[in-house]
Amino acid sequence: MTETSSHESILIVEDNPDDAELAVIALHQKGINMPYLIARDGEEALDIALKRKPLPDQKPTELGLILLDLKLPGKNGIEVLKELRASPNTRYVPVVVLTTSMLEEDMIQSYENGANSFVRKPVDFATFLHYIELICHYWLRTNLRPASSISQR
Amino acid sequence: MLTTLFQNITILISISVLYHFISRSFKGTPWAVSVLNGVLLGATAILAMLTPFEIEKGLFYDARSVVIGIAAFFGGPLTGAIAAAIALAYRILRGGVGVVPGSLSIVFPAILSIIAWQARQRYLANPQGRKPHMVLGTWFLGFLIHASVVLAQLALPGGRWHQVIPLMLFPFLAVFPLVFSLICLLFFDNERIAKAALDLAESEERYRSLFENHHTVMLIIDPSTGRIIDANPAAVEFYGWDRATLTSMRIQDINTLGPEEVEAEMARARTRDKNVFYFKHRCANADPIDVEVYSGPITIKGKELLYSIVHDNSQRIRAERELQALTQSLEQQVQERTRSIEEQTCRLQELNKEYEAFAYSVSHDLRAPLRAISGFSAILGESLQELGILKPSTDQQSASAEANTLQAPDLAHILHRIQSNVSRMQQLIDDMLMLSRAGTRKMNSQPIDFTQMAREILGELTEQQKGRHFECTVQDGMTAIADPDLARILLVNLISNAVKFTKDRDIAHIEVGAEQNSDAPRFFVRDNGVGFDVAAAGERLFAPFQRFHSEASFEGTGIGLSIVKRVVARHNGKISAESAPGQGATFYFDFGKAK
Repeated sequence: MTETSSHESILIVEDNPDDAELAVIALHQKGINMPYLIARDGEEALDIALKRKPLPDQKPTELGLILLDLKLPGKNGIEVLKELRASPNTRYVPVVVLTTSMLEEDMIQSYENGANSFVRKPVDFATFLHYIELICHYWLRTNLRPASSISQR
Repeated sequence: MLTTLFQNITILISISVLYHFISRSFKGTPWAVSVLNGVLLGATAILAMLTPFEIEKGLFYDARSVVIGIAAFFGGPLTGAIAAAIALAYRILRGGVGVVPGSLSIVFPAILSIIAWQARQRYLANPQGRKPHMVLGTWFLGFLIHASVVLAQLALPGGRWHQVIPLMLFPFLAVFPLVFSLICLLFFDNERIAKAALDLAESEERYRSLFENHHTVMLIIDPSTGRIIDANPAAVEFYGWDRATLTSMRIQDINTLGPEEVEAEMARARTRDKNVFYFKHRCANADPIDVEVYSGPITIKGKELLYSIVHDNSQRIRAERELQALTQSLEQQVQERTRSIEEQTCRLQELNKEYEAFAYSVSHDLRAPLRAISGFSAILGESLQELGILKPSTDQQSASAEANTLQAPDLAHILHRIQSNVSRMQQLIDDMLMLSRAGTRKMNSQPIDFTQMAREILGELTEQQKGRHFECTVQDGMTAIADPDLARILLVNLISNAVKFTKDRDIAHIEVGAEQNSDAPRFFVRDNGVGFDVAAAGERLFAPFQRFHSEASFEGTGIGLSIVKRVVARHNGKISAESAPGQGATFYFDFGKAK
């Protein structure tokens, strides 16, 4: 996956540091060497995605994929999703909801509010690795956006 | 002759007044009345004889027969005898040629009238048959009496009757019977008046005694002033004032209402607008008593008064109040009970929500650390491999004897144990979540194809068991009315148990079927697995976290049958098990009555 466009990065929205780290490790193990950003809550995620605040240590980058947890402190995942879809800058960024929730209602709400995928976090790490590989393969390579939407910036 | 006749009549009329005066005055002693009347009428007979119409010297005729007849007919034998005796004595003393017929003229009427008196008494005692005609009857008696007097003249000495009887025919057979009848009518009338007065007195006495001796409190009130005109002894006892005091009081002194209100109520009683009243009446030495008063107008001696019958109503009112209080307290209790049930229901619903939230947290929050443990231990294993400390071999080659990597096989084993515990923990969480869902999720009962469902689940579960040999039978055409999701959960648990506990069998037999009960099918899942001791398991069989086989031989969380039991309970069904160690197991269940 080295050919993935270098100017794009992955945003991981995850309040649990363990889960965030595991996600990063999984990305690394599956050879996805894109830059990544971690947001600890909904507000921070929106700050980054909507470029509301300049990032201190990194140049602003385009988001190629957002991995979104639903259960977040403060603004929850669904609310974040709504705002992402409401903004022209992030309307077409693939959002994969990655959650522990077992509730069917959460899945329905996610899709209703424009999530591209809804994935339950598996406990088994090997399975998780497999999922991450599939997700990235699809949303970063197979299902690339048409050029017009990129030029929108 | 006519003059004397009228004189005699006048005497008789005036005597009738005296006769009845005596009768009234001495009514307590009947014999005295008889004697006095006998004397009186005897004297009257003499008086009659003193005003005779003499035919010739010593031969005179008079109205003695009428007097004696009246005396005996109305006065009875005693009066008649006395009067006759007096008249007879006088006649004999007077002597003359007519002494024998004159005496007979007294004796015959007396005897005839006494007989008539007896006949009349018999009739009055037992008034049956035709009522005798008053005028005709008395005239006939008068005629008989005077016919006997005429016949008595045959006793005149010297055959004088030839001269006398023709002279007597007119006065004795025409006039005297009529006079007798007339006087009888007068006596009857007087008798009737006397009887009416007696009846009136008796009736007054009856009503008086009704008022005086009745145990009901009665008052007679003058409605214009409210003054108590009369009060009976029961009233005296009830109010505690003596009669004199009571009759000097006004009803306004007794009634606790204001005087104007009492007057208004009296007016209503007088006009019969209302006849039952509920008042409080004061008493001499007690608190006012609740009374029920029946009141209405009564005319006594031309004056319009009010009678009041007073009932002590206090006990009834007390009973009513107690009943009312009881009813109220009962209602209150019911309300309180209802409220407490509502509160409990509310609390239960809250608890249910809390429980669901808890189950959600369990599924979410317990999974996160588990994921971290699983993930980091996996990464640790990989890192150890990269560092060469751990061999990349997959499974337990536990007893590796390589000296300088002594810890390596142990590390692999440890990592493996961590992973298997993570899976077990995950399974536990999943099962607990399922158990809580089975108890709380909303029911949506509908007809389901039970055969189809069982086949699908059997297919899925046996397919995962590579290298095992199953022989499964599912009865055709089974249907049930149940919540499809819960029914699936139930079947998954029972069938996966069947799959699990038959793992040592060369051929695992699993059968799903149904027996038609009276109103709902009773399903069963049967296997030929290791079985268990039903009696020893008892109630614990369906309790969560109960295991009947070691973890090493059969993995599992011990929640499966609790879930099954809960699903059945949600459908108001029943579940039971039949098994013996080594004999396989059969679980029977139903989904309650089909609706």
